[in-house]
Amino acid sequence: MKIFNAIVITLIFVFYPATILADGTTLSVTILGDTQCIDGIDNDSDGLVDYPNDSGCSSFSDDDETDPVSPSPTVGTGGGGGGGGGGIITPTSVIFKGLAYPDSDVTLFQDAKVVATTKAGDAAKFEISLSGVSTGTHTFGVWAEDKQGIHSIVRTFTIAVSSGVTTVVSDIFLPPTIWADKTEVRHGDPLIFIGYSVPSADVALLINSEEELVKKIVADDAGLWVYKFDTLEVEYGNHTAHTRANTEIDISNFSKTVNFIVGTENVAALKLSLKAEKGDMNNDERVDISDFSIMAFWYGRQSPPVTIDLNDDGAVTLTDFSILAFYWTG
Amino acid sequence: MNKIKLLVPYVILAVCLMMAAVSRASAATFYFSPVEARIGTGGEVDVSVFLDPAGEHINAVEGEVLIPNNFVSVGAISDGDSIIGMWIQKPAYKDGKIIFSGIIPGGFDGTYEPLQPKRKAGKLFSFRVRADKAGDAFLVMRNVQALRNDGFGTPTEVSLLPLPFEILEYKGAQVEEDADTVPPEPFMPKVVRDKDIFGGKYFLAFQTQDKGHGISHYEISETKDVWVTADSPYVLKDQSLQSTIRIKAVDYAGNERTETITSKYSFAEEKGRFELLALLFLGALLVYVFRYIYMRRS
Repeated sequence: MKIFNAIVITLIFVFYPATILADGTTLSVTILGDTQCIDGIDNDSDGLVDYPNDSGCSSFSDDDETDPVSPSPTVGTGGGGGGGGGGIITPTSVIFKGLAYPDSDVTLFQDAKVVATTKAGDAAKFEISLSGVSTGTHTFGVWAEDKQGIHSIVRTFTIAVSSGVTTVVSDIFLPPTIWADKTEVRHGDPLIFIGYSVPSADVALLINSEEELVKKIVADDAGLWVYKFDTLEVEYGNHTAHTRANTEIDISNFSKTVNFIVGTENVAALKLSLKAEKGDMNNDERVDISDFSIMAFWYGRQSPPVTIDLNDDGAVTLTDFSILAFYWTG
Repeated sequence: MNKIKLLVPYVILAVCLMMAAVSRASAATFYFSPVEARIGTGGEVDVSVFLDPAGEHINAVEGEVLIPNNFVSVGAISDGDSIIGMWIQKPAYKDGKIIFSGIIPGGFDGTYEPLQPKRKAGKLFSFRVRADKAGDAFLVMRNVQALRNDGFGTPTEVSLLPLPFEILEYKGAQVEEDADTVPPEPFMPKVVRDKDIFGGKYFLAFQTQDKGHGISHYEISETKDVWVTADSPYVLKDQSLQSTIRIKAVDYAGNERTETITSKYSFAEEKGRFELLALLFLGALLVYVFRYIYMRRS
């Protein structure tokens, strides 16, 4: 009977209900095994059951629900935690699933460094599984590069990873990529916007003028969307454009923003491939710790080079680091 | 009339709490944990600084924690389990204040915890406070900035909550250290060269995190068994890049993580050797095939 119980316990997979995040992304966990901190029983009779409700549980895999002895009676409300003990050794992993663009390169970074890359399929689906992730708080970033070399926005998830738990972040829906063929366009001439999304997705192109214009486009079977914008629809001056996409079941966040001027001449955008729009100081087509170090060298120093002073205010400040962090690729 | 007078402090407190609640609802909030402390003289308490983004998406923060050093003193400062991915200025105590600044690449909009529908605040760093003298004191923050992850570094409104400290005339307890046997996180140091810094010399860029007690320091070895304590960026002594470089991250519990960058030249030599061997093998194969064909014909 003991052997039978052991087999049953070993084979138990406890699926906890998924949490729907604000943007429709789903966060769910799978816990292997059967410990005091996931068994649904108040093992230490303190009126609290399992992790994270019972302070005696440091994680789902903690096999001792007994409350820890308070290390110091002097601390007021808040804080605390910790304690517990024992526990079984089970794999800890994080899985990311979602939609990017057909045949796009999807990159995952963890705490600022790239830890995995994969290729999205024809239907734009991708999945990345990371095992051996240490217990603690990690920030993960997912981004993709479409067939034309245009980067998506980075979607980040800061996750408190628990020992012995598989955390699944699913239903990630990366916003469309966007690029405009001119940085300045003569009033009345067309401006071409292109990008990628999920095949057959409805793409909304939002042009910010005095009044916001919304243009609807349907991506083709390869995920490509193109829109020829008549600049007579807006006044002379600076404008921005961004997109979002929706399918029958989901809607994405907003994409990156493209800036353009409606003026008196046409100025072509330099290149279609925007591997690193800003922040790539050493020209290796990445924005990472190398660029951070170069910027950190100039922090607080006089007369930084223009390539490092990203907001062009004559000094390297926290604002420049914020711009670098936005364009981070890992 | 007396009853009304008695109610006045409570009304003021309620208004303050309502204002704080409204402020917290619309601004990124920096606060301490614990939110208040009562401690005996000579006692210690670990204080953490948290960021609640309150719906904002934040990727850069900086600020100062003022220490009332006539009442308390600061012990170890730890960045263990911090949400900060890259420190511009790692939290350090100087002249009565702890100064910090760092970025979260990709941004931070709250910590997701499985089974918890609401996102939680993220820890920036923690520090140990020792009570030196009885009395009432406050830990406060100032010059705090939180910038949005919008590609422009737009500042967001911040709300700063102080930490009231009541230090009493009894012997306070010391903090017991948790066991920490987990080494710092794996990292990827890079050899970089840029015309705009260090006169175009090669330098090392590195930084990692520790999920336990935090990173204590880094050591670098360019020569076998010779280690020097160093910070990033570090100008390499061997500008010819012939040495194997090892970078060691050490946490406050003494756990270590070492990463190695193999010599550029030794790698090239290995590759060269492999190519030479492959050519020799192909040559030998061709000679053998021709000899075989020649023998069959004759």
